[in-house]
Amino acid sequence: MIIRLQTAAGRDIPNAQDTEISTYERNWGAELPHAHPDADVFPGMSPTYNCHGLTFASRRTKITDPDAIARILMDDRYDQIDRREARPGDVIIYSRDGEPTHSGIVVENEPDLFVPWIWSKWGNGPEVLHKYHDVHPVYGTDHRFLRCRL
Amino acid sequence: MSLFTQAELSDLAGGFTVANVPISLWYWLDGHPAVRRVADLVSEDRVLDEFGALIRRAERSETILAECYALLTAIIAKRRRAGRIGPPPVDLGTLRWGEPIWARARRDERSTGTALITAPPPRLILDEG
Repeated sequence: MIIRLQTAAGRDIPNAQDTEISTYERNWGAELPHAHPDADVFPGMSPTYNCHGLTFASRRTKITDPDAIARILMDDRYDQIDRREARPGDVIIYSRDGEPTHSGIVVENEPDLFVPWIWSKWGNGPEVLHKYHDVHPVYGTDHRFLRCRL
Repeated sequence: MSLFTQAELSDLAGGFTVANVPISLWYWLDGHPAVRRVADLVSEDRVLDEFGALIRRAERSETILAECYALLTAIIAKRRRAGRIGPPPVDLGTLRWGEPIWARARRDERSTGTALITAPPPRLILDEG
């Protein structure tokens, strides 16, 4: 099912949802706390939305097209900020060669250390609260923090 | 017999599971040492045979799907090194993220292509005055 999802400028964002979680994914999700002991892995998994769906679509759907993320960032006026300025509600975009691979929401920035904690969703798996650099290598190491100016 | 070890297959399946979008999976696979090894050492025909055998299997586990994407990425890497990615040699419709990955690879090919521009040799003017 495609839900109506638009940027502030009225441009459509393609999206879709899945309906199933496999046994493998459940087992993998159960192992995540061991693989990332510093992170908080929340119970429950959902095939309905992905990381971008959590960050930009209120958990309603999956957004997988990198061009769609670029449209959202442009139309919804996201500006890059320094990591030290990041505060709850800002977002982080992980990328490779400028293409968004993962996203999440800043929930806290440790005072003095400037290590933002991120709320993000990993695949069909659980939502995870993690330090900004504590992610699976599939998401790459490049990242930038952004603030919505709308 | 798979072109990957059990440990490699397990790692590939983990990456496939955590990937949120096709691009993250492709970039990661493109830099994965096991995929690079296959791209370096195995012929495209052999990779295609393996891909075909996997895709015909009724079972579609994460491990099998991850292996298919890894083989697809190896084919792209081989083609890129040969100078042209060209049309896909397999039915990409059999993989959900096959089309966007191949399209992205081809877009990269176009955007990173080089044009050789040669300047004319400087004219040598001798002053015989």
